[in-house]
Amino acid sequence: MWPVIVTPYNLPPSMCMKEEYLFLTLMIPGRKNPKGKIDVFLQPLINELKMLWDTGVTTYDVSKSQNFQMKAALMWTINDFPAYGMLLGWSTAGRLACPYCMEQTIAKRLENGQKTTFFGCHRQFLAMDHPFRRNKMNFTKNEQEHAPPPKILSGDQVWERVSKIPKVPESELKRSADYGEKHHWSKQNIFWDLPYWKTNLIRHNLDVMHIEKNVFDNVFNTVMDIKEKTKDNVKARKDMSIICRRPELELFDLGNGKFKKPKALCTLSAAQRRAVCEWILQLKLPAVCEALYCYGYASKKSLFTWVLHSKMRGLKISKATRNEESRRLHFHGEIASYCI
Amino acid sequence: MKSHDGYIFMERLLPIAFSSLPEKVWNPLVELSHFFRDLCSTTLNVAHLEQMEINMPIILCKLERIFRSGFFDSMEHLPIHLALEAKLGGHVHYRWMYPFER
Repeated sequence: MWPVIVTPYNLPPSMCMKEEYLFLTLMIPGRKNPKGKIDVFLQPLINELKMLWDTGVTTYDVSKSQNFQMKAALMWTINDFPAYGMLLGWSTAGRLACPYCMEQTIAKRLENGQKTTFFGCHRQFLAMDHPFRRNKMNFTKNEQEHAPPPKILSGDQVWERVSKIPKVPESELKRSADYGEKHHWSKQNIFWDLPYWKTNLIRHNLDVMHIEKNVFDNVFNTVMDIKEKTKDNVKARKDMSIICRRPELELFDLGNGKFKKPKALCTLSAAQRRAVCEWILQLKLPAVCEALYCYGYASKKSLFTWVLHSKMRGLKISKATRNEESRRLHFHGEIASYCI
Repeated sequence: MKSHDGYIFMERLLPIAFSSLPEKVWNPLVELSHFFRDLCSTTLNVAHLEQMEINMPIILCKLERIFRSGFFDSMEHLPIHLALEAKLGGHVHYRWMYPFER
């Protein structure tokens, strides 16, 4: 099931996005992901939105006790990253995943990891005179970066490209020859039927919730060195030796196809991992961190159950070293004052 | 782990939990944590968002010096555009998926 929800924005902030004002408009049935064909299901909604923009509907105004013609516009869509690709018509998987950088990205595919990496893409965004741009040691080896950041396309520029691409039932989502190399377009999405769509500054939102969670998961799994989830595995080390110059992290070949992975600076030792877990367990979340749960979206016990899971994964709890304890207490004081 | 636990950990607990890391690693992680905390704040200031837009590439470059290339999938790249979206679209609370995922 894929619900499509519409919510009005001209409400006071305290009422906006609350359950009472979320209107479930469409239910897309089926177990399978509709992918690009989602536009077919969206047709009735878009037709109504067009009507709401062009003619509007007669609505009763309680404050003035009279009818008026209400008009409405679609501001943007809120969706996760895979759905972003489905709605935009630009696939958000693979090398050209970023819908802002589009084909100007310099993302690469990793030989060993068989994944896309955005490593090396971020120096472009720095100021032209930033010393990181000239650094040949710590980033991609022997390479300096002189290119300006990718230009973000305006609504008109995007429309110029999209207007030549067929819409969904006609396009049949066939990929042209240069798909994946020069572009990721597969269709002209149905939102372009709205006359004002190209004047919107943001058409689809990047979902901060999912981005933050995924970034956190990656950081946490790598720093805690959680088996099979860490991004610092043998394949990553092999790719590293191709791209970067970090002799202290090179794999040792032990023969018989096995490798020894030297400990990286960014991972915690077993004792430190235990200390982190123990610290999370002793946090009195419901009492001490009530203020931290100011948005109230999480179950307060889920952090505990999650730590217990990591206990089962072999991260056993023991006493923290005194040194770390005092360091943490110092920061704890800081956070408490922040909350108040 | 649920999304919101990640949110709490990322913005509040991470600087303390990982304080035993060396400064070179800990600093950019804390800066990342502060970036998300500022982005999700209930008051946004355009000048501050512009500064965040400048800072984010520096934070990511610092992370590039520490982590392996496999770490940087599309999700690690996207924060670079989040400050711009917040500048154009306003508070993230009205543009994220928490109300729908409950």
